[in-house]
Amino acid sequence: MPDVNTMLRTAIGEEPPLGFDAADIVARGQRARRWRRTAIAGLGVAGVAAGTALALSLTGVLRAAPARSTGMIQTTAFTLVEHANGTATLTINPNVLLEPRTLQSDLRRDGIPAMVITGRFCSSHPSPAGLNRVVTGQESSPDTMTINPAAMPPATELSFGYFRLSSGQVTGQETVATLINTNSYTCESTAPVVWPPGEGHRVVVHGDIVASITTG
Amino acid sequence: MRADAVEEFTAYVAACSPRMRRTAFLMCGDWQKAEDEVQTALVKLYLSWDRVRARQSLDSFVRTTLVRALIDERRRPWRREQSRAVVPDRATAASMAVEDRLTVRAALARVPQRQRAVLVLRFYDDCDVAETARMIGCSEGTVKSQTARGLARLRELLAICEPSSADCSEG
Repeated sequence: MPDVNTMLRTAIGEEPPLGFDAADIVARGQRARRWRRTAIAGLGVAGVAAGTALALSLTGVLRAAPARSTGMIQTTAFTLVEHANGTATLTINPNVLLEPRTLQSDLRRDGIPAMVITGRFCSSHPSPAGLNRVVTGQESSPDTMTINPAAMPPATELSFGYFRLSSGQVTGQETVATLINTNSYTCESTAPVVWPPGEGHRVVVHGDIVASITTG
Repeated sequence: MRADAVEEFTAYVAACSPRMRRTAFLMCGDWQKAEDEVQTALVKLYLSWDRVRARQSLDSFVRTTLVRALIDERRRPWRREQSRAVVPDRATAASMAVEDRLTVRAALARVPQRQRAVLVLRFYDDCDVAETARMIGCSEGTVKSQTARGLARLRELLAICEPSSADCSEG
């Protein structure tokens, strides 16, 4: 009879591929941490309500929770800044080809459930409501989007489609974002937003879609 | 978590996930469940990263979480293993390697949960008695006795489950 170690190794054969990666774990960990902070804050509020007199007497002793640790990820294609209030700012460099998996894993690492695809765009019909609360553009910096993951409805993800544009003399790129239901969406290979006239950087809100377009 | 800590955590998860899933699979016999438990253990590690990294072996933390989750799981009545008249995955005429694998899996599945966990930790993960006792939360003496009983039971079941023998469910 073979030794126990050999027998145990025998039992492992035909191992299926791993169904998760480190970015998934980091995203789940960040969500769990946020949930825990929210729960602790909720308990704190209840405690304060129950002991108002005591709380008043302790004014100056009780302190706000420490600020969330912030961080910045900078690549040649994009910069992702995590803010203390839980939001993140994504700035895409229009002159560098985006590597979608890198952006996707970095967004997830910052607690933003996201799917980033090049040359295709995924959406749900009907689209989950609330995109304008989750993603906002900046007039002063059209390459930049501010993302608030706390405003995302349950069981949704942010879908990013990244397209290189080319029509006649006009070339450029478009990054499109929308909210999708995690378990129900379809993907298309055409850019969903009609280009606005003119050249330069623009942020276009088109129904349930936010698009950052650069042409010229 | 700071960016450098996230990087470190990510590297550790990438390196340890396949290994930990194999350990969990040997303990529960189900790849999907093994994967779920590993993910849960790794999320717990994420939440305790700074403390665990500074204080103890990362592998030890993840294995302890896995072992305790799997043992606790089997204690719940609605998840408890159930006896069946026949072993569902028994191979018939496949290759010898597949036959061996299914035989070992069938025998392992019939070793009591705690004894199985001890065998996996000691003979697959090469943990010593003290470390195994710490992970399972029992004394070293219990680990030794569970090891002896588990080995005896496994050998007995393997004899019964030999392809040429009668149905291993009779063991």
